[in-house]
Amino acid sequence: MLTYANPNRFMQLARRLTRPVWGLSLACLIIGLYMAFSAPADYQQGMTVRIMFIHVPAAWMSLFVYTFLTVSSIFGLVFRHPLGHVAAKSAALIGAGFTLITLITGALWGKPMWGTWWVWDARLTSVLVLFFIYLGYLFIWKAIEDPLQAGRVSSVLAIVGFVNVPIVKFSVDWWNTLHQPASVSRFDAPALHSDYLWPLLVMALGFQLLFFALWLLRMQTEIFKQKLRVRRLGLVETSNGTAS
Amino acid sequence: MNSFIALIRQDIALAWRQNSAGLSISFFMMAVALIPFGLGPDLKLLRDIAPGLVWVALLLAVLLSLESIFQADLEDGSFDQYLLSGTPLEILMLAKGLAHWVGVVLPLVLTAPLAGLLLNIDTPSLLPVCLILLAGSPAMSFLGMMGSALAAGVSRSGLLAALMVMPLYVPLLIFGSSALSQILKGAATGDWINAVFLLLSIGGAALFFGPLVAAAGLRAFLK
Amino acid sequence: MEHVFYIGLSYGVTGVILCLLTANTLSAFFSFRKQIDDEFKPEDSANSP
Repeated sequence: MLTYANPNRFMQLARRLTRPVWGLSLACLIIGLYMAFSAPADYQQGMTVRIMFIHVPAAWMSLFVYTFLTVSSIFGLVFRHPLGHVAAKSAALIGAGFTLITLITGALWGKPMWGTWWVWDARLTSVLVLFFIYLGYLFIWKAIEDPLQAGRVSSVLAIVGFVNVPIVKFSVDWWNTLHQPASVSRFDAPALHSDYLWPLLVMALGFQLLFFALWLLRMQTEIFKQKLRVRRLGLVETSNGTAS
Repeated sequence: MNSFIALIRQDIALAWRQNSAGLSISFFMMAVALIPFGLGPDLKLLRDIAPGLVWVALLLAVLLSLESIFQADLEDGSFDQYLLSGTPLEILMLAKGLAHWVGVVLPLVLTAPLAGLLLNIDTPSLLPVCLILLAGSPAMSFLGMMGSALAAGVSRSGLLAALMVMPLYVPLLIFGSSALSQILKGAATGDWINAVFLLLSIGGAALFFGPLVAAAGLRAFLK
Repeated sequence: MEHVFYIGLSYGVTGVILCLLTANTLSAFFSFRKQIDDEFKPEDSANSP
């Protein structure tokens, strides 16, 4: 009963939340974009500082989504929560998308600032590895037909892959690299001027809400799929039963 | 304990019978020998890129051998026996990892420095090179078996296992090849000995987590 | 003017990736919702006329 009750309650909640979350996310992104383009040019980086307003939030999201994916996987694997694997699967492609955005905008920011598209430093390399881990996770879901099996196997992979998340986070502190260290999430006052901080935070909120908006829809899609599968299996069984 | 040793023996015997080590060594040698065809016979250039080249070829050779860890068991249905045997699956996975290490990776690592001669590494450096590779070798087996177990049972499991294991091999590659390049530059022992301990500690962590993850992965399939 | 290229491309690529992601999500959502409606509706109306 629990397996049925839970997705149904989730569906009710999701149906109610989807539209407001989409609306809020688009509003934040539009306001954020406006603020990003009206921010003054940086004295050092000039206009290219505007790339920061998508690069940094996307990088935060790539880590957040992976953490979310790992926690959902643990709920699925250890606590056998019926929605755990589904929640993880629904998040994976979105996380991969944000990681790809991080890598591409990073390259486009690096070219005018450092004079090269890519440097093999710890931060960039570990984010690339994060992207590969997302891909491996997605391939597992493609490779294994049975969703219950795929859920368990991919969860183990997700948990193993989590070792990379702290490496990404702290790579700039542990190794001296070209990449600048965190300038917002410091315990003392942020090193970033408020002209840049506010657009950054609004964009980050927009990305976060966009993630939830997309995730809610993907969750509902997965639950639809599950329902259809159960029903079709049931139809096959009953038709077999009447035949014999 | 008996089944632990019996499983190690059985797997090493299987690796020996199938000549898995010989296959991996041949692949490794060929991969190293192919590079000069592409780059031209510039010995100085080859020496400069030797550390990364040796490590990459070595890891690729190990990746290709990973499929064999669980393949035979899957084909003859030994997995169900493992579950019924009463010995914890984690212990049996430890045995399988050790067998892969002794049966495939160790012979590969011990012959790999010979390829160094092809890449113009001078003879006195061969022993330290061997030491570094040796220090990294347990991690290769035990990180590798995680991916192999997770991909077991999927068709074309080798490719999927390689895809999952490659990100985990990145630290080995980074620390291993930077230590190798220091050795080749003639740095003092103190400069690269830390890398040996680092590689060994990665290996130690993998020795602990590898069997756990492999057992979890296989249970995910069999349940 | 060079920076306009990099900024434009960054925002452009981000927009394209997010739009593809949204399109993928929405198309899957609507297609499966339609399948659900098609399979479950006739039965419901038959059960409760």
